[in-house]
Amino acid sequence: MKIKSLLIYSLLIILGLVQCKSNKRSETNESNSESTVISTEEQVVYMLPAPDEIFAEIFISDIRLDIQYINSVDNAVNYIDVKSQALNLGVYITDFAYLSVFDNTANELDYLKTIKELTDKVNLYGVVSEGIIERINANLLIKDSLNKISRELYYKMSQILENSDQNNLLVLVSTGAIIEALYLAINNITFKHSADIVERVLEQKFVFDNYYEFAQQYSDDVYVKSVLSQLSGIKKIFDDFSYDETNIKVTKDKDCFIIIEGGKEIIVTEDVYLKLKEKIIDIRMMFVDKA
Amino acid sequence: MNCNKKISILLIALLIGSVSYAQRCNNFHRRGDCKIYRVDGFEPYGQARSALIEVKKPTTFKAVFYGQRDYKIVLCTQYGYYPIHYVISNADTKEILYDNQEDDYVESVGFTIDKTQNLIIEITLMAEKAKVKDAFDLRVCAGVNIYWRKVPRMGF
Repeated sequence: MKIKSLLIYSLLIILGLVQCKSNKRSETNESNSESTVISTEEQVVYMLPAPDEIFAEIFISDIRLDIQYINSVDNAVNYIDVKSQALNLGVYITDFAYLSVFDNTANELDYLKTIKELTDKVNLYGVVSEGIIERINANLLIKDSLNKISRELYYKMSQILENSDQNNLLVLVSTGAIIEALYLAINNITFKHSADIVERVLEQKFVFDNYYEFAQQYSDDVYVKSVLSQLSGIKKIFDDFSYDETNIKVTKDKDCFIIIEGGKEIIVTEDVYLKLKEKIIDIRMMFVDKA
Repeated sequence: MNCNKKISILLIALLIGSVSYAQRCNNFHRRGDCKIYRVDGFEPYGQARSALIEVKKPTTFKAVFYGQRDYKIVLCTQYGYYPIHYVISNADTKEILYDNQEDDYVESVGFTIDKTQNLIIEITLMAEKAKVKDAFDLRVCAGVNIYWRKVPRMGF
């Protein structure tokens, strides 16, 4: 009996020490999730949008979206290593957000089931709870609610990963999510669409830059390092953008509302657009094609 | 209750406590001081965040702000750690766009933005009246809540 008690206490003490160490480590990390412990040295919080927020910026009502671009749930069985499971977890989360735009809702539960399976595989139990599944069942015909649920899902997962000191895994999931969002955006829009919409796609450069800076902090992780290397081609295209630049002018109106005018405007050319499209399609294929 | 049970409960409480230390700021920006009560067509922006930060040390939040949008930023912290000093600047040029010192450390600001850009919001909890007893009191929750709306197109 005494030996049994001693073993239990030892286990609890070890768990406690591991947890303390985990908290201490997280103090030196940065994160994009909803709550973050900030280090004294770095003190930067990257505020990154969820996939549905990227879509909201690009997909306006007169764009006809095509369902064929999403990653089939049948591919999920091919993802057998942690890197591809985490990357494609991000891909499927974005696909789920994308599906919530469509009236055809039959696929959404299949995607949610796949997301649940992948979260379990990367040891993220409880992200897709029975409560979420029930809410989705109850809201299948309400697009706004599904959008909200998809955003909650993304941020909840980010929060769990950050609080459990798994920012390297968060980088992989976010990578899959952002690449899929760019892939779906760029495939649904041709250069013939209005300059405003094409510019909105190219403006995702600012999101990508923030994301890339966030990911670089974890580049000592072997998976993150390899993903950053895969993304360097996209980074280079974004870095080579040309701009029309005007001085920033800040004024205040009578209600103390601040007006910020001027700044950098991306020069949109078909050549740049096609180069970016090609690179995004390449990288996305690398992520999803494991067959 | 025997001694073994007491020790078990104590150890489990310690474990739970250490987990909640990292999580105590979750969703802080969605509570009390960070909310706006006059909506005026503004919607919550998903990039709003909370963080556990150190008192009197600047912390940088970085986010994309899309052009042709109105934004409201509301900052909040725990009771006793106000005022909050914040400076909003362009991430590329580092040009300062707003410093709330000029408005007596007001906690919210509204602005309209012409072109998409990355902005940096540098926050310092001045905690003028805070009574710091130990290191635990030096780290408190801060929230950056952001609301946005599309700028209506002008003309006919």
